[in-house]
Amino acid sequence: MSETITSRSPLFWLLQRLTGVFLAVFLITHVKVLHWDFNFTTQGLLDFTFVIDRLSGNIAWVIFYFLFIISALFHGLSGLWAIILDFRPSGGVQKTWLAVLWIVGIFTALYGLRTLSAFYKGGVV
Amino acid sequence: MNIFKAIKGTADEVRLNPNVGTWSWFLHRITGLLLLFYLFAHMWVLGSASSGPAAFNQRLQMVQSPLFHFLEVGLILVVFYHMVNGIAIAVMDFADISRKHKAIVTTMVAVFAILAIIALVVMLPRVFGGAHPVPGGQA
Repeated sequence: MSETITSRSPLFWLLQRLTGVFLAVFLITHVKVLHWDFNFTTQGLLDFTFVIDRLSGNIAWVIFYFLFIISALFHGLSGLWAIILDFRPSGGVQKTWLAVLWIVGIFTALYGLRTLSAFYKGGVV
Repeated sequence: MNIFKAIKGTADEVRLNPNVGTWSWFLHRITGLLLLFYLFAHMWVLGSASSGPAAFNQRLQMVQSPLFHFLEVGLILVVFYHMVNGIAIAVMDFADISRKHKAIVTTMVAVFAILAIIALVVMLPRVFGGAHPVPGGQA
């Protein structure tokens, strides 16, 4: 029987706050660069050419978006973990959830990195 | 843990303790779950870039209809709520001013209202106006 915990660790609490503040900055930048100026205000549609015009070949954007992705995944999955713990599942159920959340998070982060690499290379696959 | 018990427990919390803090907690939770779902959906749409420009444009076109433009208005309101309420939570946690909770919530609601009006003014015309293609683009 594994030990049952009732709340997230203090480290997770702190990281939830920090990633939350980062996300506000990342998200405002993201919406401004890829959506607001063109897409929202002029009613244009987005396509591949538009995205690589802005992002391709610039490693700074790859780093920016990778940090964005891992912050968002951590923040979202750790938020879900807090919700799960609120319902006091048993120790075994907690362990399973935690493992699933980590696997989903790592898999999705790698999937995002693969997408970023496609944009970085400008669609040459 | 079953999902119905979880929903009932959350509803009871709001029903039995219906003050402003409970509502801000409840909405933060619901908007957070919606945003987590959206994050996966968004990354799935963009993931088609790995199969080349044509696949990307095709999948992106699926989500650039008036219906999705309408849903995006809802999305940005959900984002703004979660962002403003989240900043309020961080401020209360770090600045040790939780005694001023009602003033913080009032400020938060005002900021949210301003952002929501801007978003509606900028984004609603797109839902009804009909989008045009990117000049020189493929969509």
